[in-house]
Amino acid sequence: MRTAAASVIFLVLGIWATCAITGGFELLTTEQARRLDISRKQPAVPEIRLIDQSGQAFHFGAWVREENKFLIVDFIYTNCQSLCRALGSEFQQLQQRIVERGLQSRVHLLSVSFDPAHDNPAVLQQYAGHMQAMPDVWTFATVGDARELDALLRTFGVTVIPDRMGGFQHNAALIWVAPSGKLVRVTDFDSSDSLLDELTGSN
Amino acid sequence: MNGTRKAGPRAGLILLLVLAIPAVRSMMEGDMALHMLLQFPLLLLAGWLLTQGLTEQTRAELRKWNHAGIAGLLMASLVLMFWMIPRALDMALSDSTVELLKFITLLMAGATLELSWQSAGLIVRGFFLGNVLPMMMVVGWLYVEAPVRICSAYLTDDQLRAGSGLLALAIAGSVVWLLAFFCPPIRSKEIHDENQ
Repeated sequence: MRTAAASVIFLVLGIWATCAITGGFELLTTEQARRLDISRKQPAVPEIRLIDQSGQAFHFGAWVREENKFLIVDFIYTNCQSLCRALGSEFQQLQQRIVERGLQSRVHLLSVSFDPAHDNPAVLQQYAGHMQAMPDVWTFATVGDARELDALLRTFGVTVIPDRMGGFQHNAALIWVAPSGKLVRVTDFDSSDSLLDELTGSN
Repeated sequence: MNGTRKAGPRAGLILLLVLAIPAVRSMMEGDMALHMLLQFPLLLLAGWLLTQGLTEQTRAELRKWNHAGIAGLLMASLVLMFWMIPRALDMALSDSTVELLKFITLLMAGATLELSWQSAGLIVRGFFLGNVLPMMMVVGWLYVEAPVRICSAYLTDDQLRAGSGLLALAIAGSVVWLLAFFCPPIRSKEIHDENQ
């Protein structure tokens, strides 16, 4: 009898703890938790200073509201050999689609480098050229003050850890920012086409 | 008898203290494979050794709550399964309360294993191993096969090694279990025969 009671208590505690850490059995990983968190809370873009590839500084939040466009953000570093390449070609395709459909006035692409020590405006300019980015569709930027990088990455749910070969590993995702300056959705880099329809269609 | 009773908990305490040293902790937790495949088992071992210091009286009291080791092995399997959830592993690194809970629950799992294993029959042991070993295989396979990082705090190479290690351990555990299943009856039969 006591054994049954103890077992039930352990079982309840176990289920409760598992439920708590998996957000009600919805997720197993931190990445999923982040995505759910962003789409539920819809945090605002932080008011930090970014510098684009032409060397011009702007305030992130204010800029989004001024532009009054949907913003698709990814995080990169220009020395990256793996994930950022995939992200880069995804953005190239998105750019092409935006131009084809004439959505330049409604959707904008932003690639933010989390390696401000290396990726200064000149490097970003060169990278943008390499990616055949059109300045009116696709902006490259990095933080003006490296100390603000943490806050930016935290808001966007990006974890960057240095690998052992001088590069970084980071989670690759596209983060969708509404014209109001709020983060609304996080998607994988291969599922953006339908969302482009959805967001621009519903607006 | 008295000697081993003291030596066990003392070794357990020393092991626990060593594992709790911040440098040792960050060394082990910095590597996913060491975290799951070395720190976890050592914490279980520390819990096991510490429990050997319990008096017979306490054991008898605890046994009332743990008939045939059912409650104890259930608890141990829940704890082990919980800490295999990738997000739990991540949170143990980013949140010190969660890390403390990890230490406590794994110690307790080691303790309940010690208190329950002897009294657990084949079925209860089978239930425990039948839960934990397949879970290790699934998680290990997930880590090996995943195209992306599942734990955000670790590199993909780490993930691959931890996954392979989990798989290897689960397979080794299954083999040992099967051997134990088929061999001891023969041995006890021999002893039985000798006694006759």
